[in-house]
Amino acid sequence: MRLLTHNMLASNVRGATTGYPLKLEASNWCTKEVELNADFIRGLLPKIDWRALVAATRALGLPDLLPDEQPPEEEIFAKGAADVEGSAIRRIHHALLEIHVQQGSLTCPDTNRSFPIDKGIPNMMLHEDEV
Amino acid sequence: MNYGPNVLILVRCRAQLGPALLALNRTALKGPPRRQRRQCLPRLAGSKSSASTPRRPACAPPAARGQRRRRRRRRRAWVDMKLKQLEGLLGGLTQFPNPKVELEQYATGPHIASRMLYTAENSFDDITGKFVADFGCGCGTLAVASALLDAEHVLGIDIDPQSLELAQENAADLELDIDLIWSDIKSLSFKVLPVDTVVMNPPFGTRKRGADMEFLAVALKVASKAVYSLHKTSTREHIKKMALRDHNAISAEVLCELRYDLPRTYKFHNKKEVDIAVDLWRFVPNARR
Ligand SMILES: C[S@@+](CC[C@H](N)C(=O)[O-])C[C@H]1O[C@@H](n2cnc3c(N)ncnc32)[C@H](O)[C@@H]1O
Repeated sequence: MRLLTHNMLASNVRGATTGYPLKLEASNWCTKEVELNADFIRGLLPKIDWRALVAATRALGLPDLLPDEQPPEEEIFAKGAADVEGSAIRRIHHALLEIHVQQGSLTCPDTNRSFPIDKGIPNMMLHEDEV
Repeated sequence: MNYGPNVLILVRCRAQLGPALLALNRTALKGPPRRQRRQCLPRLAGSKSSASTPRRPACAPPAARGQRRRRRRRRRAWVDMKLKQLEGLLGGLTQFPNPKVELEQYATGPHIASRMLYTAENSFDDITGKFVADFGCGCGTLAVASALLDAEHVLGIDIDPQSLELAQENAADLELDIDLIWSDIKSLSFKVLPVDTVVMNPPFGTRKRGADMEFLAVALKVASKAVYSLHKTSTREHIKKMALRDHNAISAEVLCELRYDLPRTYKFHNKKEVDIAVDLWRFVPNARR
């Protein structure tokens, strides 16, 4: 599970109000490089929840990967930024698309119901009495 | 090679199937960056960009005409090869070894799956560089096809964990990365909606009436660009009405009609039925929510 997928997911368990963001815990995660596509990031950025993304990176023990506040778009998409090591767009790309959580859990902030992540696949199944 | 349980025959098709294919093998992906690569692919007759090129005069000298015809034939051969390559890769996927009948687990055959995704990309630009979700992904046919066509992020969702494991293996065998979620489509909850395109072969509802409509309703909430889906032709009017009236679609179009050979287990209600007529739909959701 990549952090982009984590950013979308909310818990739908009975009793949850927003069920978001799911608290991430990871005992095992890895990174895999993928080519940066600035147009994709540009389309994505207004749609994602920055705070949830930052919280997820910090939960993985990466306190400095992303700042508390989203940098201005002019900075992120500045000409040539994609080629600069450590630039905002590179970090965002890395956070969203290059980190894979293999083992861990997602916890609903409202109900504390925990959803395990096993072999990279979060188990979001609800029991009958939770729907 | 496992061709899955169904064979699909194209009956009628309005959409352009085939042209302008993308690098399909993974070694090519390590080559030049995506946009560059796309630019150097020849654009083909019938593809989007050539629609605006003016027609050449019909009275060209015979020699030039012959040359053009030869060139066209060569291009078509090249396209066929790429399409076949995708079809071949999809044919190599492991599919439902022990299908669960109540979940309507039958794979989309490689023939139709490859053409479904080609249409989505070549006629509508809905796959490459996009965030694509596969609802009821099973062993990952449509998700893998999307990843092979260079979707930027692919997310498969299914209620059956064994299928998901196979989907993961299928993707890994082709060195593709797809994200997977184990969930019932009906109880999914998304806070943000970055998905561009949903592709799906939902349960037709032969076991549980209306199962496909439930999938479609969620898909039209989640996608921002388009939803591609297969539904029984016998429900065409109903699907169209529901999609437009109740489920947030601003357009609903049948791209082609297919013959879908369902596994025997599903043909309980009409013994004479050998295969069923199925429509390939493209829905456009109302993105201003
Ligand atoms: C017709 S199969 C299609 C499989 C795969 N997408 C393909 O094209 O080869 C339908 C899939 O939907 C899944 N499914 C059925 N009901 C579901 C539900 N309520 N939520 C999520 N997945 C479901 C089944 O497990 C099965 O894998």
